[in-house]
Amino acid sequence: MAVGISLEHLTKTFVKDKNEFRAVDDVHLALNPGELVTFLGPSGCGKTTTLRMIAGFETPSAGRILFDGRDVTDIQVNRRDIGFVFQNYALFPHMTIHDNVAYGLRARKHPDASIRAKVRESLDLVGLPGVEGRYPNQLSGGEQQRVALARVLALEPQVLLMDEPLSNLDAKLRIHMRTEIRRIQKQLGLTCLYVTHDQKEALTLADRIVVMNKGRVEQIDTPFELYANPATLFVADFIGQANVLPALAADGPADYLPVTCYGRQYAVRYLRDRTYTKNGAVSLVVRPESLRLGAPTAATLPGTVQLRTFVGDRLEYEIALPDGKVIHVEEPYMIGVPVHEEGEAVGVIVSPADIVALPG
Amino acid sequence: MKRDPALLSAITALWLSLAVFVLYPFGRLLYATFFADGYFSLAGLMRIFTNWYDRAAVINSLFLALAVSLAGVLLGFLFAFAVTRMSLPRPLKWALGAIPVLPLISPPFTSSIAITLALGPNGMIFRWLGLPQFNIFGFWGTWLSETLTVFPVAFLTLSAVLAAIDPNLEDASLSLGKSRLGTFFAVTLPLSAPGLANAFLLLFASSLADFATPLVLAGHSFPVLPTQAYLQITGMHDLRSGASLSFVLLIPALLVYALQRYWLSSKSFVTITGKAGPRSGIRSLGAGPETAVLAVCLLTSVFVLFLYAIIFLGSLVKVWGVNNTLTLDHYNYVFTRGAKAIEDTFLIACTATPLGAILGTAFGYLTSRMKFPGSRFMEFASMLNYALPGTVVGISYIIAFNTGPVVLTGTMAIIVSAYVFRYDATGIRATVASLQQIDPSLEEASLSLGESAFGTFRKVTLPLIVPAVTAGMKFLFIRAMTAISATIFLVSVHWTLLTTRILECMTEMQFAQASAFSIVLILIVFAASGCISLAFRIAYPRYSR
Repeated sequence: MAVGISLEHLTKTFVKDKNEFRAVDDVHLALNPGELVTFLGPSGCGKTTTLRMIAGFETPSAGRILFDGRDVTDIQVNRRDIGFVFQNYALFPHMTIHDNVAYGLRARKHPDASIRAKVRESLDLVGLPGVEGRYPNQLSGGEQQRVALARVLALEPQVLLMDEPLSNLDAKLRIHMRTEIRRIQKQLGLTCLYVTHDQKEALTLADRIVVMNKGRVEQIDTPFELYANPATLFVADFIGQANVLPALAADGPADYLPVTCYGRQYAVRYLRDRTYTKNGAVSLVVRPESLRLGAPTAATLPGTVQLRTFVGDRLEYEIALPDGKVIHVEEPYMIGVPVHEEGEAVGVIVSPADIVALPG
Repeated sequence: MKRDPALLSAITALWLSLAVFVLYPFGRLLYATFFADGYFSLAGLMRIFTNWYDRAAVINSLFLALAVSLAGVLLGFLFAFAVTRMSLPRPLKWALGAIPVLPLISPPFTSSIAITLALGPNGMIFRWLGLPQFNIFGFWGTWLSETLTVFPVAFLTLSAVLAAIDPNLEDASLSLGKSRLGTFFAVTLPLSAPGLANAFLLLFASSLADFATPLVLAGHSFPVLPTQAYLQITGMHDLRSGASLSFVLLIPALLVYALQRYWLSSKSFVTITGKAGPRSGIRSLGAGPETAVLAVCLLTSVFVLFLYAIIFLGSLVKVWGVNNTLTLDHYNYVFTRGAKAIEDTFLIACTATPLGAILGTAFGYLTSRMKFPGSRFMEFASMLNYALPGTVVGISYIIAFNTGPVVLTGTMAIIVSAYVFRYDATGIRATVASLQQIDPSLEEASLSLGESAFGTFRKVTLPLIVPAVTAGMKFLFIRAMTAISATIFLVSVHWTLLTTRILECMTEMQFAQASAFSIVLILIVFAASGCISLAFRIAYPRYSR
């Protein structure tokens, strides 16, 4: 039943106080059937608006939405055969759990007997058997969100759309529900779009992540690629922690790029588009956990330990470079890794394989 | 959302109804005021300011409204303070909260009749106290009666405001060394200032528009605008003068309406401190001032109850103050000679209530949930007849529907539509307020589950706003049973109202019959609003929990 979704140059402009504001700006992407894709970005980046356009709550200002190649842009939300899970659950407070889950089936005029069976089946699927007779306010937040999920799953929708479904839950429950959602999505083979601002949630759940910023798509990739090979500084900074070091690139052979950073030479592997890095300023992105500390040598970046924080399994250092710039280094806390003191002069060891070079 | 043909036709229908029953009469009223024989003319208005009697009416109206609203706000504030800020025994607190509501649901003549019986010629109080006779008719009687009728509005507004002031603020003042009375004047009173201003405006407007009380109590020595306009039209058959007088009445009313909207929209009410911390015990003012507040409240309550007792007794004795033999003759009169009025009023109220509920819900829902061109103006237009004094609405209706494309004079429809478009305002406001509490995601959830827009409204939205709709229906029913100012111009031989019958009894000095009519009316109102609540409780049992 799963379908593929294409967004073609999707744009949404709002007019506020006579100023045009592009909430979603030329979003162009394709989702495969059965794939779970998260939309990740800071608040106001257009991720929720994009989701609401796919659902049919908002009309695009330009562009098309296709389900399996069929244009659904002008189809009303109640004819679009989507399942939408809201951040605040949106359970009908005046109906029992049974009536809530049966709601969509009744709208589709299913016979009563099959509704009863379907409701039970859906509640079993989300792990909440036997709550049919209760009202939403008699359930906890996590249970309410499961009912909201069951209400949608009962309809066997082609597409499952989720708008920050876990952000109202506490941390422990969130992790549990995350795996539940993943299990159910895989079991039913649903195409699922999931909006979140929580990068951990996006990394753990998604087959692919769409990172959005200011209405535009910054990068679409698997969690691994996104973390290891960010396409922009924004992505590098938004996903995980990143040190950004200024450097100068020189012309080089096809398979690597020679750069100079704080007087040290590194051979950085090429990434994406090589034109931008030729003979110009580049930014080197290095993750704190791929840096190591040692004694200062001619091959290392000279620095001073400014702050040391012990977090149990690792030590987090803030190292001041000669020009005053501060970088973050994380080292595991284990035998064989020396612990450095605040004020100590150290050398920061950078492995060229861990460097990503970006323009500017 | 895509344009829905059903939505479009609903909006068109609502605009059409507003055009016919609100904008058109208003336009005809303005035309009658400013045009004579097809030419622009200010002669009608000028006459009001040159004729000394009309000029007196303008001045008296404003002076009376000022006096009534000052007294009413003071009384309402004392009651609100006693109920929300003083530690009183529960039953006493309940009584002080319940008694002010009585005048709100009574026909407008109740206190006038009672005051006439108690303080008028043959009045019992002066005789009991052995005081010389005092002419209650004129300013003093009107002022007293109107104050008692309108102060409950101030009480309800101000108790909400006082209850919302965080007692922690008063505690903070006390802990910083202020005395209790000092805290009241430095913290509590300034924080309630916007509420006081709002209550003042509400009372000013209702006193200005009040028609029934001055008709009975003001007399010829104290003319006011609404009665003056009424007498011009019914006595002199001078529509133009009536229109001009009501136009003068309209200006302060619209001013008050605009000011009030400004106040509400700038949200200067002190309501929120955000954090719901533990509320400390209620701090009192100190024994002396508290006793004074309580004494005023108790005296007022006793006086209100006393007035109702007089009406009740007055309906049961042969001739008040002369022959005190008990009799049911007056009730016999009510149910024989007055049967038509009872039937008509009841039928009209029963027709207006569901119509008003449907319209009020539609206006409230469309103007707050749907964004369409002119939705702000639609909201304004739907509240216009409520903001205007009843006399103005009544006069504009006779001008508009006597001649021209729509003739409704003498029909039931003219009375029903006057009620529907004037008194569905409460329903609209309640619907809007309750929709603001409902997250739009509930409706979106329903749509995304495959339900149609109409099905969503019926299954999700409507059940959630039922309490608001019920409140609106009750208000409309009560008003349709008890109002007089607009509809006194619209009654006819075919359709008459209980309130106009009471007025006839009053002008013919049949006080006992008037009292009996009032008692019957109060009982019908009580029973019917109970029935409306019960019906909704049965239809939507989820809310009875």
